[in-house]
This record gives sequence, structure tokens and C-alpha cells, in this order.
Amino acid sequence: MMKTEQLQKKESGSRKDGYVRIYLTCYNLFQFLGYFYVIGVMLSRYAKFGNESLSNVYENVGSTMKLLQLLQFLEVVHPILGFTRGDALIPFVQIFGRMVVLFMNIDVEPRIQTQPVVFFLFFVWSLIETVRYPFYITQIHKKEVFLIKWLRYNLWIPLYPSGFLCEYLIIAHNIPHFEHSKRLTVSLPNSWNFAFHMPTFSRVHIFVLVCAGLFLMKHMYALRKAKLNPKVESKKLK
Amino acid sequence: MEIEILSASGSKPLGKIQLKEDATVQDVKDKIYRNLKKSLYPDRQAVKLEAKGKTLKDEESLKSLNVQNGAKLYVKDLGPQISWKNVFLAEYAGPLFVYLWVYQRPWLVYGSQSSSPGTVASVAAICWSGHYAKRLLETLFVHRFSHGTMPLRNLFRNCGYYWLFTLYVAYHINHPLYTPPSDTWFYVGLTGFVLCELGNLSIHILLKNLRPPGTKVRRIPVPDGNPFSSLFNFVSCPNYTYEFGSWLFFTIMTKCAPAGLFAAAGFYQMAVWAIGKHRNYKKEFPDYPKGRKAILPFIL
Repeated sequence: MMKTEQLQKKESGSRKDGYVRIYLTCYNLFQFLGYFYVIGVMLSRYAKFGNESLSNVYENVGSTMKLLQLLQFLEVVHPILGFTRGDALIPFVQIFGRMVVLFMNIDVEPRIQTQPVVFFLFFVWSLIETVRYPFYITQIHKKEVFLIKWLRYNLWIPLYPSGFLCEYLIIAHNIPHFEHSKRLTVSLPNSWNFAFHMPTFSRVHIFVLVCAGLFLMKHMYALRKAKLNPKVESKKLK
Repeated sequence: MEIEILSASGSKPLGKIQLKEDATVQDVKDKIYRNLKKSLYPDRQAVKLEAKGKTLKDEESLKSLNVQNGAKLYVKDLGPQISWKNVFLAEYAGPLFVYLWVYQRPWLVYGSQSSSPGTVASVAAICWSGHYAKRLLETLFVHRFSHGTMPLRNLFRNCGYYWLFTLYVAYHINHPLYTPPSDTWFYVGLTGFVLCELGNLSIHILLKNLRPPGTKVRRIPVPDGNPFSSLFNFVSCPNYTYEFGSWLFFTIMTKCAPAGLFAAAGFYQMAVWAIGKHRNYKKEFPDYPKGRKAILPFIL
């Protein structure tokens, strides 16, 4: 008995003891409810006001999205503390990228906030998360719910590319605004010798977005093949 | 004895090899390379007992692993390899040349300029290139590498990190609109930088002397006569502590925030390595000194 327990601990490679498991369940549940709420508000407003609701989505769910996005930073901290398996770098890049889109592109530029692209971006992000978080909860408790698993490994196929496209459109649309307004741009001379040129940053961001997007989809494709293919599954069991 | 070799991915049989009774994992790799697959040179192979098992060490003997006549071993292709030494030389040569190039205020970076960098920027250029010249010399004459090679793609990742960060830091410090800090900042930073560089070098030399040439012997490092090495009483990896100190003081000397970002990124990576090494030391040596931390005395 002791031995199998030790083995399990070794295999999972992390100390998912009781408290951590409860905490992670709460965190994932909170995030799930948060994004579920966002989808609910967006859909009910769309049902009520039609296309008009596309332009004031930021007014309605912007602050909720900002809160949920900030909380997501905990997902970078979890692997560092050993709460979850894996590397902190990949979640850092992903979450930092979304933070830049949300806080440095949408939040500071009222002219983009009323564009329908923000509606689509929030919708895609929220849909991804309402599948991802329940999936994590099932994983924490080592349960398998086929529907959740199936959604997790299939829904990204339409959602990831649409999400990246929305992010690209927002960043690209903002570059001329930033060129003109000089918002977020810091120029030399200053006492900490720090220069930051937002339009250049945005161009680099687009480049990284393309690379990271391709990498992420390749990664999901490999996972999908490994997790949903019954042949591989049966081979593993042997 | 005869051993069957299968590929770890897909468990495809590659063939059979004949070995002596006292063969080691290294002999298995040599045989696979010579008799079965010419593209898999020994450094490119990872040999395992099971397809998804642990990688066996080169010096382990088959007898101690209970591998007998007719047994199966799995070999994994690690991809093209490059020696650590060459990676180090490439990743450190970049910062040296990139920094000195930006120091010239090239037209490509700053447009046409007639002014030249001031004292602080010039001292910073000496410090930066001195640091990387030191590292190149250490790679050639001081370091002894216990692992032979690493995957080739690491070369691009490492070079990208060092070269681009150098360009980023050098751009700010050599900028025509650069503002030098007060004398206090400059002298505190310069003194700290030089001391940390000397400390870093002392530790590298101590680590070299710890391992007799041509062996893979591992021992607990302890301070020798050199006062810089007394940091070993507090941390397992004082070379990383000094390295981080160097960049922290370099940031103070130049009062340049991008240099601080470089220090922070380096600290994160070195802390990860230091924690790993610290853990290995503790696992390997039951009598490992209790008071030591990984990289920051008393803290981490």
C-alpha cells in the first residue's frame, strides 16, 4: 500500500496533497464560473439588443475579463510552487500575451473597444476557458468525462485560429493609433535609461503571435492524437 | 551474449548485437552505431530498459542492470547533437561582438551620428566585453564538461537569448540620449561588478580543481584558501550568486533598466539550475552541509 502511494507520488511528480487539490479545484471552478458568466452576459445581451450589443461589450464585461485575466497569472505561479506539473514558461508566454492584448491594446484604446472584433475575441477566449477549466478539474480528481475531454481536444481546432486572428486584427488595427498618439511609448532621455516604442513592440508581438500560435496548435494536435486515438490508447494499456 | 535492440518510439526492432559479458551501456551504444545504424552516433543515443523508461548511464554495466542473453534494450534518437563547448563559444562570442558593434554607434542602429559614447558607456563596454571574454577563456581553458553534447536546437535558443539581450541592453547604454547616473551609483556599481567577476572566476577555478582531469568524479565543493570561495559556506552554487551580482551591479553602474531585465531573466534561469544542482548534491551526499541554500544565502 505504502509503496503504491509512493509510486503514485513519484509518477505525478508534484505534491497534490489535500489542501492543494481543494485550492486548485476552487481556483478552476471560480475561473470557469467567471468565463461562463461572461458568455451568459454576452449571449443574453445579443439576444436582447442584437448587433447593437457587439459595440458595447467592453463596457459590459470588460472589467470582469480584466479581473479573470489578472487571476490567470496564478497559473504561472502554480508550476513554480509545484502545485501543477510542467514548466512555468509556456503559461507565462500565453498569459502575458493575452494580458498585452487586453490591457495594452484594448483597455487603453477606446477606439478599438467598440469594434465587433472585441466581441468575437471575448467570445472565443471565454469558450476556450469554459472547456479548459472543467477539464482541469476532472484531471485534478483523476476522473475522465468523455464529453469534456472530447471538447478539450477538438474545440481548439476552430477556436484557437479564430482567437489568434482576432488578436492579430486588434494589434494591427492599433498600430497607427499608437504611432499617432504616442500612448505607452517611453522615449529617452530619462534617468532609468529605458526606452519603449509601442508600435515596434506591437510588430514584434505580431511576429511572436504567429510563431507561438503555430507552436501551440502543433502541440494541441499532438496531444489530440495521443489522447483521442483509440489505437494509441489500447497500445498503452498493453 | 546477444541483445535485441528496439527503437523507443514505436518499438520497431533494429537488430541484434553481440556483446561481452562485462559490457557497459557505452559498449551497447558503440555497437549500435557500428553494426546497426550509422546515423546514430553514441552521443545521439539514449538507451533504456523499457520504451518509456529512464535513460541508462554510460558507465552502468549490463550485469548490474540484470540484462542477460536474449534480453531487449530500447534506443531513443536524441536528434543531432553539438558539443557543450561549441555552444558556449557561440553563445558568448555573440555578446562580445554585438556589444562592441553597437558601442561604435552604427548607422544601422542609431542613424547618422557624430558623437561618441561618454565615460560611463565606455566603462560599461569594457565591463561587458571583459565579462564575455572571460567566459570564452574559461570555456577554453577552465571548464571541464561532464556531459559531452546537447541537442543542436539548443544552440539557436541559447544564441538567440544572449545575442538579442545584448543588442537590447547595448542599444540603451550606447544611445546618444543616454543619461549617466551620479558618481556614487557609478563607483558602487563598478566596484561591485569587479568583485563579483573575481568571485565568479575563483569559483570556476575551484570547481575545475574539484574534478580530476579525464574523470566524472563528483565531490562536495568546500571553500579553499581563496576568500571569495567562502560563499560556499552559504550556497551550493556561488558562481551563479556572483554572476547575478555582476549584472545587478552593472545595472547600478549604468542605471539602465534594460540591464536590470537582463539580470532578472538571468537570475530566474540560474535559480532554476541552482535548485536542481542543490537537490542533486543533497541526494548524492548524505553528509551534505545543512546550512547551505541553492543560490541566495539564507533565502533561496
